[in-house]
Amino acid sequence: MKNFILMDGYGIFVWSAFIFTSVCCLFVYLKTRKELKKQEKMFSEKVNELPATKIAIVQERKVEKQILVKSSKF
Amino acid sequence: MLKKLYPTNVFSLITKTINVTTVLFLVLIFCGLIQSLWISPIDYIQGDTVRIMYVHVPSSWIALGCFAAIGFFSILNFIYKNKNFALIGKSLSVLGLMFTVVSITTGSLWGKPTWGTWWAWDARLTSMLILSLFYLLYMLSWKIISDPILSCKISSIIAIIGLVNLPIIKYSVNWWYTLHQPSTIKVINESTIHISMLIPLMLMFSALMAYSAIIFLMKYKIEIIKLKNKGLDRL
Repeated sequence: MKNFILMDGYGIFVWSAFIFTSVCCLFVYLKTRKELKKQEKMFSEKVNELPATKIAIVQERKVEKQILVKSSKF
Repeated sequence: MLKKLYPTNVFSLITKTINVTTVLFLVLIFCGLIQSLWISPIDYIQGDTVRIMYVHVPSSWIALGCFAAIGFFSILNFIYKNKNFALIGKSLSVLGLMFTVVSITTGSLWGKPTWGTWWAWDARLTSMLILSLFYLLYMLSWKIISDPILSCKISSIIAIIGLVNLPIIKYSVNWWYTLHQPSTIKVINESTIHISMLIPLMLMFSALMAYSAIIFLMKYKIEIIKLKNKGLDRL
């Protein structure tokens, strides 16, 4: 186990490379997910502000309907 | 044909694909990490530092691939005047920049024990740095310019100019004498990498490709929702 972590003294370089890659991937994933939820929420709020006749038009549309279903889950 | 790829037609498919790709990514990254950190052998010269290759090389490939795709879609955007191509490029840019930064940083971490230096102004390293600058310029042009038509044009021009840098990155190790080693994996000629190292490399590449697909689809979905949001104003 000690050998696996130390890697003949190169562990600091190897682990740093893997950890840096993981942190970058996780950061971009979380940031993107947050932005997606924000946009879905904004869309839903904007639809709710519309008059009832226009809401009906929006709900008839395929993509808009899917965004609204998704944002209502939060 | 192009109509089938319109955002409206692919929207429901995006959510399903994200879910499937997430499962695939988790399986691949689990196998890839075990292979690259545990099972794969050490190099007879570089020792354990060779394991850095399993994140460095896939990151570099994806960074180059993303920019090639952005450039390609920018050309298509100029030809067909279809905003969807620009949206695809825009959705790929964050991924490309992130993997360029990962490639440069992990390369630096590999360079210190191997070459004795964190950084050298050699052709491969410098051209990768230039690639990151092109990514930054491309992303800034979308962010700074408020007119969407103008920002689309400027970003496409930047991407097309940036395409010139890709063959320089690829062949820099052959054209100039550099610290960076020549490619060990070749598409046309026989690769000089052993199968025991090729398996973890391909597993990590597939895992990072799956991750890239997830992020790209999420970004693309964001762009579609933004468009739909603007569409509400016109109702």
